[in-house]
Amino acid sequence: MQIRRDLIVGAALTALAIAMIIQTQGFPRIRAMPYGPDLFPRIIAGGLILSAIGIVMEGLRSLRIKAAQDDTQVSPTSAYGAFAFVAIAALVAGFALLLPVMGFHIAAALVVLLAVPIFGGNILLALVLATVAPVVLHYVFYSLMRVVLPWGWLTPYAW
Amino acid sequence: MDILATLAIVLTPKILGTIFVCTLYGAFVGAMPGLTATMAVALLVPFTWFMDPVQAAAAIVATTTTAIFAGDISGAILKIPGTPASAAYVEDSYRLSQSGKPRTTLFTALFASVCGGVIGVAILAYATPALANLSRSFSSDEAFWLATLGLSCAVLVGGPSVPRNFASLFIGLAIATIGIDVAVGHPRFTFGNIELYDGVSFIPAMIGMFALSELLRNAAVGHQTPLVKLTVEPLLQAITAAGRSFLQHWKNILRSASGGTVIGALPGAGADVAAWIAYAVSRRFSKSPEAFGRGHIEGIVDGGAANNAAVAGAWTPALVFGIPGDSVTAIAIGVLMMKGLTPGPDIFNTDAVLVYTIFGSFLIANIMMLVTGGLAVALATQVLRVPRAVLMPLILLLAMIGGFAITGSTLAIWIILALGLLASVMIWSQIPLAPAILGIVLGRIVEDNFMVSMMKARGDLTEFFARDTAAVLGALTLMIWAVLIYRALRSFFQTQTPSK
Amino acid sequence: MTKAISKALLRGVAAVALATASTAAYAQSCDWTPDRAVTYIVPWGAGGGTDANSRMLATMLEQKWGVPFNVVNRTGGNGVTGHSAISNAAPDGYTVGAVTVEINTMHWVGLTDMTHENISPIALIDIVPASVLVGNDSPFQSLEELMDHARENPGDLTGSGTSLGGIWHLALAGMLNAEGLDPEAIRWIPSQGAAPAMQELIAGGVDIATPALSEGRSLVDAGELRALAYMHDSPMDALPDVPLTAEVLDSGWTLAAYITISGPEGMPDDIACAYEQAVMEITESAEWAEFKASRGADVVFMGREALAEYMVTQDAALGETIQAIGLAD
Repeated sequence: MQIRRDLIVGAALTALAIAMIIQTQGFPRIRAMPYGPDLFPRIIAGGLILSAIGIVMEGLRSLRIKAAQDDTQVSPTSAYGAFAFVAIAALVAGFALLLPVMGFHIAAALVVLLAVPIFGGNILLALVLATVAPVVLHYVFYSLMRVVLPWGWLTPYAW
Repeated sequence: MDILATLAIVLTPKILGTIFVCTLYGAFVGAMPGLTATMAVALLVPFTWFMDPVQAAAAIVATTTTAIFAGDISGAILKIPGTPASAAYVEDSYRLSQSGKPRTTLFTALFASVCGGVIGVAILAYATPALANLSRSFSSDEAFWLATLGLSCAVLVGGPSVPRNFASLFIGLAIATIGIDVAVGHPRFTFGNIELYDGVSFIPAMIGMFALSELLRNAAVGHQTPLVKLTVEPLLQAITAAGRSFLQHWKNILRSASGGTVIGALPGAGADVAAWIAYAVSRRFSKSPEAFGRGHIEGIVDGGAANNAAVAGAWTPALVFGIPGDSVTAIAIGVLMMKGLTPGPDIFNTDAVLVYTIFGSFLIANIMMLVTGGLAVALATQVLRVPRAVLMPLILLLAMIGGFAITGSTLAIWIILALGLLASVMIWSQIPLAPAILGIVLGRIVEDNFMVSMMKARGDLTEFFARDTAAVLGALTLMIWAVLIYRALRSFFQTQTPSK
Repeated sequence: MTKAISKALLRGVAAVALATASTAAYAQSCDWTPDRAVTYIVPWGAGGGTDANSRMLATMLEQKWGVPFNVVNRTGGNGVTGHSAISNAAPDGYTVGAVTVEINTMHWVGLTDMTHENISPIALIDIVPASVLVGNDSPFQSLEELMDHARENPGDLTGSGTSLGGIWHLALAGMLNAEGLDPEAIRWIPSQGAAPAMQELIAGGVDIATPALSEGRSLVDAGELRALAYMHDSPMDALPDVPLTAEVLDSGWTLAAYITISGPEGMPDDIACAYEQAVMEITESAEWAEFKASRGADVVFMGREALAEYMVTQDAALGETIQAIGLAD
């Protein structure tokens, strides 16, 4: 139902705005001026609340004129879809945590190894990609473009 | 100095060779997510020590020009805009390339970029003093109005729902408030994390919002067809089609390139602001505004022409005042100084040859970009022939390294994750993403200049109109906002009572 | 049997190794060299003075030692982010960084707890004195006129150059304070660095700017800006006619920022010493001299001990200024 979604969105935006305003309470002021770093966040919070009101009103209006044609493209997600979504997000978090510890090669290989099956590839493909991709990307970013990718566990073999 | 004499200097094998190699280098760097034009130029510096001044300037110019164009390539293919300058129209270019026209799209963008660049140089060669005078009059007041004008594009680049566009813009602006504030240096919304003091940087933010959200969506819905490949049209057919759509839109290119050059020359604005404004203007005057954001070539033509023109424009303050407009020109000034050349108003007298060679190099680089950029497009689009199960994991890895490369810390990866999830929620909420990116890019500029102006004027708002240029820009901005609000309200109340 | 022999052998080898190590330690404790890529952290953006100096030094260290020196710009938080990254890195010689004068100011204004105690100074490579710049249409022809105006009309003029509490702000407020004026007699307008501040000055948005004279040199040369003073005790080669504050001001006020190469907290002596020697040799080279001259700067060098002492005196002096002008946390 479109109106339910609009209400949720409006509530979420308002909550975000209120959280921002509460946070700005403790901000210092510019000397001898009635405002400071809190001015802009508060204007933005106000804008968020106005947008929320607008979204809800739009939802109510479309309800009244019964022209509410739900053009949502979000297809009903399957259980596997939900799992894949969470798994990819978890892979990103895992990479962020493990990159400094394990080093680029191992962390990247793990990401590819796990991501390929999620996107529907088989184990053989995963193994091949997990071997080749980290080496190639390391060459491009570390050796050519001087990006300091961490070595982690492989520090003794670093170049 | 006449053009032929300049070209004679530029058209030596050594300079031509340098430009050729650097356009290849720029195309590679620009197309790789996370590698920026600034990084490319910084890495170029040690090589410039062995070059003469003309060659060094040519190298920098050629690299940046191609890098800005090549940002479109990763935008269209991977939905990872290479630079914020490509973000304005990434929604269009990505959808077009997914629908089987990646090469037509990118060749059109290439032609527009080349043309935009050439027009930019032409304007630069004849109007630098005038542009310099305009940029001389820019204080925080004018910069504030220009950035605010840029923000109004949010209404024009988003979806059909005005409140949702505004919600998106304000979400972006809220993200931009993270970090140390300009007025007193207070860390806001950083939750004690020192790395967040610098705020949320654009590249990880864009990667998260566009690329990761797309990967997440893909993982959630597309697993049934892991080995499906996208179609890539034959090269010749793509070039012909691109040429046709380029000729169709020559008016857009002329308009956006001249606008882009001026915006690029102004302090505080750059290629990204130029692209957003060009895209918004394009939509406003288009015969089919409803197609924008759903895979329409017109906006790509305008944005692409504008951002490459702006790259040329950005050299105005650098050359005339020695004040860099961005980090690329800052590095370039350092290189020129090492060669014993001091940028400044006299440079047109003392080092006229060099100035005109820089223009000449721009021209040649843009023309050579037709070849090298075309090569990059032809090669890069091959990526789309790769099966999904191979491509998606690689994009995921590339997105994360790209973010890491910008800040050199894992914070960028967390930002990608957070904004990727936020974007997924926004997509579910039917809130468009583009205005949020605009908010992230412009939020800081708007706020910093506003606070600086307020501190200068001690809180007196009339001071925002006290200077001539500021008064004009301010009046224009307020007028546009008034019209936008009026139209939004009118359409809202008109449709409230069913018309049929 | 064989075990005993090998044990004895091992002991012998160990003894020989120890002996050579101790003599070597005395003669050349500075012979540490990196055998893989080194990360060189710069807390400021690409294109600035710190970045240019550090990239030049990194390239020359790279040539010297044959391993890559990768420069990373860790910007943000008015220097806090990058300085923390340098301070907190492993002190194994594979991370060094460009610690700048902000190490002596950030903790006073309450941005961080980190001080110069939390890094290992290696060498000072640049001293960057401040200046007083006005636009070419400014009514002020001398520093004296400017100070008189500020004394009589406190709060009328505005100045810019960097963030609030940043080094160029201290240059201005400290000078006013030393001359017996209210430190806010010229109001500070924060900016994102010297370049935007000079843009603001040219556009007439502020009345003066106090960045490094080296940063304003090209605009002064071009006649867009006028340099009223150089906050130093000896003139700059490139602009010898700019009056020195040490001479024209009663207080003899001077202020300079500085750029160093430093290591993380607790860097072992042999590594720090090796860097010190390498940097010293580089600063003595013709290539370095040429680079410095191109930027209108003098070649300066200070070794570990001298730099550590310099940091202590700077810390005290800047702390005093910050407290006097009321910015201390």
